[in-house]
Formats: sequence, C-alpha cells, structure tokens
Amino acid sequence: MTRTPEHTVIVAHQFENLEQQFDADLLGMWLFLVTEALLFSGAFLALAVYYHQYYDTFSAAARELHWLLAGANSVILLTSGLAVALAEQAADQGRRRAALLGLLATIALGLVFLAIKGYEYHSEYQAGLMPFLQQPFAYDGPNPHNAALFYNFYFVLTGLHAAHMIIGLAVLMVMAVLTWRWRDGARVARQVRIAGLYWAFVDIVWVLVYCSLYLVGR
Amino acid sequence: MIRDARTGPAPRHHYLNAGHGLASWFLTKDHKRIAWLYFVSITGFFFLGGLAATLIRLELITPNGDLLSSDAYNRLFSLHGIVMVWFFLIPSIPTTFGNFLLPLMVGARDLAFPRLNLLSWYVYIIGGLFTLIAAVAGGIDTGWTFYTPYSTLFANGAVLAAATGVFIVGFSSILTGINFIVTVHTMRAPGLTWFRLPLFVWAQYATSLVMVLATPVLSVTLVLLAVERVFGVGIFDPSLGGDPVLFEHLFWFYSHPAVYIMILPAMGVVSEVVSCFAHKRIFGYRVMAFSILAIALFGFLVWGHHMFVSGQSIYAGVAFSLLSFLVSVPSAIKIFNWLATLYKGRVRFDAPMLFAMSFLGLFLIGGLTGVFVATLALDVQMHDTYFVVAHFHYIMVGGAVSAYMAALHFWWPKITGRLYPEMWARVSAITVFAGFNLTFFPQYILGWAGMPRRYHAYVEDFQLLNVFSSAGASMLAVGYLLPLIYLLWSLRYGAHASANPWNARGLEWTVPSPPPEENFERPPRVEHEAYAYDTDA
Amino acid sequence: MNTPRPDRTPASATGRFVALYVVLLVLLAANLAGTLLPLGPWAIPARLAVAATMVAVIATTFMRLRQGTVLVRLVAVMSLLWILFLFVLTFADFLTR
Repeated sequence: MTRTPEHTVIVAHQFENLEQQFDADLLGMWLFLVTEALLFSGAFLALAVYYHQYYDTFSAAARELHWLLAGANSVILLTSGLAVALAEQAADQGRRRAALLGLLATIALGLVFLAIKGYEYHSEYQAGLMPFLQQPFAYDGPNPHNAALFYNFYFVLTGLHAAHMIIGLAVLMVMAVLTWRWRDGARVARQVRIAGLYWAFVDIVWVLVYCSLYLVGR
Repeated sequence: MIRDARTGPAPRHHYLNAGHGLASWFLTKDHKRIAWLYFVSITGFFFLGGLAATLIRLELITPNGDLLSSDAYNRLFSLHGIVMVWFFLIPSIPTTFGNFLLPLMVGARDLAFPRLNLLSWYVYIIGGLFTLIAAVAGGIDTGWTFYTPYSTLFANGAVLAAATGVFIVGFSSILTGINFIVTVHTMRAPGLTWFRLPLFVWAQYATSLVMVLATPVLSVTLVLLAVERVFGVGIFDPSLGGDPVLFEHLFWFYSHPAVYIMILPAMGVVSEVVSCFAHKRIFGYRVMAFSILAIALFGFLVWGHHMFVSGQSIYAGVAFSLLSFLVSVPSAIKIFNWLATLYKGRVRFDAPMLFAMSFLGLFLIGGLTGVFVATLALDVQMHDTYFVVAHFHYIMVGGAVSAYMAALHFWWPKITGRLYPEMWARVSAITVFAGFNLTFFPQYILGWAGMPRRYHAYVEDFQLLNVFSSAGASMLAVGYLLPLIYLLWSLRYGAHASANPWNARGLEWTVPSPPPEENFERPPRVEHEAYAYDTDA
Repeated sequence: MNTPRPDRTPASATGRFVALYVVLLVLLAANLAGTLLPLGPWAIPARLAVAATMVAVIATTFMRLRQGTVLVRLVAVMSLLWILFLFVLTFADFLTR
C-alpha cells in the first residue's frame, strides 16, 4: 500500500502498488477496445465487399441519406469527444467541478446525437427506405434489391454504433455520479480516464461510419 | 523417485477451506475457486457433447438410418459440434488450468481482474443456458458452422437461441483473454523475465491473444446472422445480391484461429509434463516460445483453406493453401523439441506422461493429415468426407483432450491436495489411447474411400470400418468415465499430496498443496530460468 | 499518488485539445467539401484518407496514445494489423474471382 499525505490510497489486493493497478486497468481497456475495433471491422468488411460489387447502386442509394444532418451530428460527437477529454484532464488535476461539467456536457451532446439519429431513422421509415420487418420498400433508384442491401447495412452499422453510444452514455452517467461524490479524487480521475477511452472510441467509429455510409457514395 | 516423497501432511489453511457455503463459491473472486466453477461446468458439457457423440456412433453401426431419423441425426451432430467446440474445447484448458495456474506461475496473488474473472464464468453459464434451451427447444440442424443462407432463411430449428448462446460465450473468452494478457504483462514477480516464464504461460498468453483478436469477428458475424434471421435485414441473402461466401470468410476468420485456441494451451501443458517426466530442461526453450507465437500469428492467415470448394477464387485458394503449409513449420519444431527433450532423459511413465505421449503421437498424425487437406488439389477430393472428420478429431480429441487429461492428472495433487490412484489412471490413459485410435483411424480410411460426413446412412461397403469406429467409441467412453470415478474417489480417500509430488520445477510447486488463499506468503523472487531440472538430483 | 505518471496531462494540454478539435472540424469540413469536387477515381481514397487522419488525431490526442506506454501503442498497432489481415485476405478472394 502506498501512502500519500492526504489519505490512504486503496490498492486492490492482487496488486503491489497503484501504478501497477493503473497500468493493468489501462491495458485492459485498450485490449477491450481492440476487440471492439475487430467487431466493427467485420461489419465494415462486409460493407466494403458489397460496395466493391455494387458500387453504382450503393452510391445512388447513399445519396438518399441525410448527409448534412449526419454531418452536424459528427460535429456534435466530435465536440463531446473534446468535452470528455477536458473532463479527464480536469479530474486528473483535481478540479471536481470542471470535471463534472465536462462529463455532463458530454452526456448532453451524446443525447442530442441520439435524438437526431432517431429523427433520421424516423424520416427514412416514412420515406419507405427501411427494407425489413415487412416494410414496403419505396426506393425508386436503380436495382432496388441491391439498394436494399445498402440500407440494411446503413441500419445495422448505425444501429451497432448507437448501441455502443448507449453503453457509453450509461458508463459516463456512472462516472458523473462518482465525480459528483468525489470520494477519492485520484481514483475517480483514473476511472474517468478509462471511461473516456471508450467514448473516444465511439467517436472514432462514428467518423468511419459517417465516411463510409454517407460520403463515399457522393 | 521414492513413493513417500509424494505424500505429505495436509496444510491447515488453504483455499478450499478458506470459506464454506454456496456464497463462498458462487461469489468468490479467488482464481483457484473460479477454476473449480469452470471444472464442474465444462465437465458437464463434455459429457453432454459425449452423449450426442454416443448416439451418432450408435446410429452409424448399421448402414441404414434405423435408430435416428436423418433430421434427428442432423440435430445431434450440430449439438455435438456446438457443445464440444464452444463449451468444452475453447474454454477447457485456459479457464481451468490457466485460471488456476497462471497467477501461481507468474508469482501473483490473483489475476489482474478477479471480478471480471468471475463475471466471465457467469457469462459462460448464461451462454450455456441458451444453448441448452436451443437443444431442448428442438435443436438446430445447421451444423456448428451456421452457414447462411440455410441458417438465416430456411432452417426451422432454434437457430437464434443457439447463435445467442455462442455469441454470449464469446464474451466469456474475450474477458478471460484480456485478463490473462494483462496479468502476464503487469503482474510477473520480481526477476520473472519473459524468457524465464514457463512455456505453459507463453501458451496461455498466445491463446489469449487469439481469443481477443478473433472472437469479436465471430460476434459481429452472429449479430449479422441474427438480424437477418429475426428482422429480415438481408446481409448474406442471395436474393438481395448478398454473398454466402462472405459469411464463410467472416466465420472462418474466427473459427480457424479457434483451432489454435484449443491446441496452443495443450502444447503448453505438454511442454510442462514432458520436461518434468524426462527430468530435463526443455530443449530449445526460446524456439519453443517463438513457435507458440508463430502458430498464433500464422493461424490468422489460413482460414480460406476451409473454403476450397465454396466458390472462393482459385487464386485465393492457392494463397491460402501455401500459407497453410507455413503453420506446419513451427508445429514440427515443437514436436522435434519435445522429442529432443525426451532424448537421454530419465523418462518416467506416470499417467500424466502417458497422456502427454498420446498427445505427441496423435497430434503428429493429425498434423500430418492436416497437410493433406491443406493441399488445394487434394482437398477437393477430401473435403466434407470422414477424412476431415478424422483429421480434426486427431487434433482436438487426440491432441487437446489428451493434453487436458495430462494436465488434470499432473496438477490434480496441487489443485486438490490429494493423490489420484496411479494404476487406474494408467489404465484410463491406455484405454483412451487405444479407443481413440480404434474410433478415428478407420475414419481416415472411410474418408479416403469417399464416405461423406454428416449423413445418417451409408452404403454397405463402409459398414465394417464403421463398426470398428463405434466399438472404439465405447472404449473411449470407458476411458473418459473412469477418471470421473477415481478422481472423485480420491477427493475423499486419496493420500494427502506433498507440495511437489513430481519433483517438478516452477513456482506453483513451491507453495503447499492445496495452495493457501493468497498463493504466496510473500511475493516470490525468481532467480533462474524455467525447467531448471539439471540444478539438483 | 507519490509516483508521477508519464501520461499525466499537464495544464497546457487544454490548448492542444482545443487546437486539435479545430483540426478535426476542418478535416470534417474538407471531407464534406470534397464531395463537390470532381475527383473521379480519387474520390474514395481521398475521403477515406481524410477519415483515417481524423481517426489518427482522435487516437493520439483524445485517447492520449502519444503519451501512452510502448505496450499500449503496440496494442493499438496490433489491432490495425489484424484488421489489415481480415481485409487483405478476404479481398484476395473477391478481387480475383
């Protein structure tokens, strides 16, 4: 156990010291993100294969998406990435209020993102661009069958990303509560740092989802 | 060695009597107790999968499909595959011996994330429940490979429940893998450098890397399968222009490396056992460590050899065939080094060594026939015949399960504090070896002669060899049931084991049997290399 | 904490975070504007390259990969390598059919 002037730092029993514990936590989170990256890459690979086979049809289908609205959503998500990075930094420097503010801003931006995403889904549903669950498929471009494949990928990839955002938001809410309580500042800072990694990863996935679904076809 | 050195007084306080009651087991964070949770659960699944295999072999005694309908037969071999692959072989050595031994071998009090370790067992159990639900709800007839579009558009079994079970159990492997990698990186005792680690630790490390890198691709593939089947979100659906071969690529990106998840830990076990019972330092330690890593790496580059007749491009087929041959190089290095370790050793044939020797022979045959089926032109003939069935059973049962049995006997005194009855264990080892060969060698010949796999009936010419195979299977059953009996017996009546009954090297043998709850009284300091058998006696 | 961590963020980091956030927005705008240019066959590589740059900025800055230990950086590189295996070998099939 290591002692600091202010208080006793609690190290989990299996570790020798706090540094070892933090190294282990960071490495564990990074390995988890590797698994997440490979999970998404499987879906991206499938999209890439079909894009290669049906390039013209997929490009035409991609033009029907709300690319500017989703672009605005990208700005929102990138901003939330900045907010969480600043929150991590504030927590690390022991500034509790600033950290809490950063986390709450991140959560708020994440919720706005999901709301806009929900609006997008709704408008695609109304336009008849949801080719599953026995919905009528009203796409009037070329090769509607192959275009349906594109929309399936659109819903699967953005849905998978949204699911990860919801998990990330839940984690950030826990972090906000921990920061608000501030039992052990150094510990909270470490936890916020680990959680922030996950949120940054969700950011990265969105950059790739946005580029491959909305922009590549334009 | 003198028989008496194997027995000793029972330590007063150890992990097994550190707590009593259900909660002390089901809420434990002790890696040694979690290993027990896994022991019990994977043994249950092993015998469930074995039951399916028994029915399969019973059906195949006669050429006509008289015992089971073709549909029931399809459901049985699918259940056998799913249970044995994901609920026994993949978790087998890592979650039990890996869990128990990794912290002891690196000189730590526990894994890096004990709570995560417990969680991964619960995740495993939830995945197992889904699979059992699938079995009870009528089973599935897709085979363990879930090939689309059959699994998504046509199969009428409980595909979703089975796929969910496999999806969930994948997270159990991922969590275990992350835990092991972090433990090896951050929790080694002072002085325990990478090249002082036992090869068992290297093998667990490489296996964990494969788990972490391969499993997520299976997860996303099953998600895509599930949304296609449940919501009609066509991804591989040919009527939308989807490509079933793409599913095969994604599936085998995981499932080929999964073979190495099964065999690498076995190689780790065999290195420990061979070195101990030859009482010699392992031959070519560094090359052994690097070949483990090389096998893990090459294992990712060869998945297309499962798809030679799938409609994959012929050029990709050639590339995958050539890459597949690469795997045989580090595998052969390992075989030669184990043999070199035995050379001029003082070899003793206790039961763990008998199982390890079985591994050497059977893995060699399985590996060499693997070169046959990795050959593009030859595989067109061999694909989907019993030759392939025999090949992978030689690797997975002859290799991985033999090594699991070797580990079970080798570390049984350490884990339980009791000695097992040596004579019965040798009987089991020899029965398993003989029964295994009688079961599966005829299948090579059947496959060579053209008997296809996955049919419940066959032409009469094949009956003799099928009867041999089924007879062997009954021997195999006896060989596997015996340990269940005498090991349980030894828990109560076996003599108390000393701390190091095999006169073996390694940190796990420096602590009492069974180990205390905290493993080491004070953190050990390592001053020499692994397998220092030449330092004394 | 009595041991200084190599990845501890200095106070001056705020400026760098904000600056790289602005870089990210500029890159995003560039990618959107790129859709108006007739890039022909270079359109897709260009868009993917800009997106990859954005990913690299987020990873090195927001995820502090630049200050990370060698091991953590190795882990990040490893994930890229394995994604490369997946793509290259699968496309070895689809591009040669």
